[in-house]
Amino acid sequence: MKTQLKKGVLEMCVLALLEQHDSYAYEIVSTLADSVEMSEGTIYPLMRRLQNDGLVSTYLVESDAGPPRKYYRLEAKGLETLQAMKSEWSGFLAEVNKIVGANKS
Amino acid sequence: MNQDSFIRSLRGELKGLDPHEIEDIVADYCEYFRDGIASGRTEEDIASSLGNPRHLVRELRAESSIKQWEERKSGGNFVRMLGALVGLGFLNLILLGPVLAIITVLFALFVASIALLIAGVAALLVAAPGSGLDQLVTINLPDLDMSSEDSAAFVGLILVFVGSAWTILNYYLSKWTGTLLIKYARLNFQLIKGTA
Repeated sequence: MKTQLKKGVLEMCVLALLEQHDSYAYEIVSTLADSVEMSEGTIYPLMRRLQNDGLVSTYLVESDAGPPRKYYRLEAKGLETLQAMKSEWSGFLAEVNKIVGANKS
Repeated sequence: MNQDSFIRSLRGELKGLDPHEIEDIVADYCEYFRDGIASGRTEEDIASSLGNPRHLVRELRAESSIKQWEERKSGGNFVRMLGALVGLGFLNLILLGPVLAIITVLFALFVASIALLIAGVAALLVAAPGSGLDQLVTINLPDLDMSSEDSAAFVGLILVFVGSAWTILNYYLSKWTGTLLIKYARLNFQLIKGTA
């Protein structure tokens, strides 16, 4: 199911991906694109903002062919933010589920 | 649109930004094209899923102007940030009114503080012995005898002091306004849909 997500949630998804392993823009987008409907180009404004806020940092990795590729790494501040977002998110989900009656088993 | 025309149009939209930043942004999108092509997509497909360069640049510009303002809180950076945010549609017409009103008040306060400083310096000059300016300028206040050089010096000192204090106060007031504006803009960043 493709879901339209608000930017705040998109941000959380990106941080969560980076928590697993460092990644580059195309990989982040392709991973997200399977489940999230997004304009691919907005990944860069988003990444620059995360970078400006000190949540992620970048480093270049030489590639076999062509210019180096830019990788993003989750910083301590980013991990902190991600954890705060996650707990807010699961709290929100729990509240909504209580009302709509999902997960009633 | 193929890669060349996408990058060309991107460069066109980015004009006026810091050259280093432009190269960095262009390199980002070139990398995206390379990765996309490597995974078997056509340039046209990648370009169309990247979206409209103009919309992308609006966001990048807003982000870059916020960063500049955070690095150096000057009047010019404030105006640029305001312009970028208006361009993004964060400051709609309803909100633009109050923001402009606040800026006008801040500006008026600055003018007032500069006027105080100028008046203070003028009074000090009048008081300076042998300046001869007391012949040119006469200040008539009901309770003040400005003919005396001492009282002119006194008034001058007070005006300079109040003017300086006022200027400093204004400086922090403006900084605070800008920071508040960023907070509001960031809130909007997060509310706007991830789809364009």
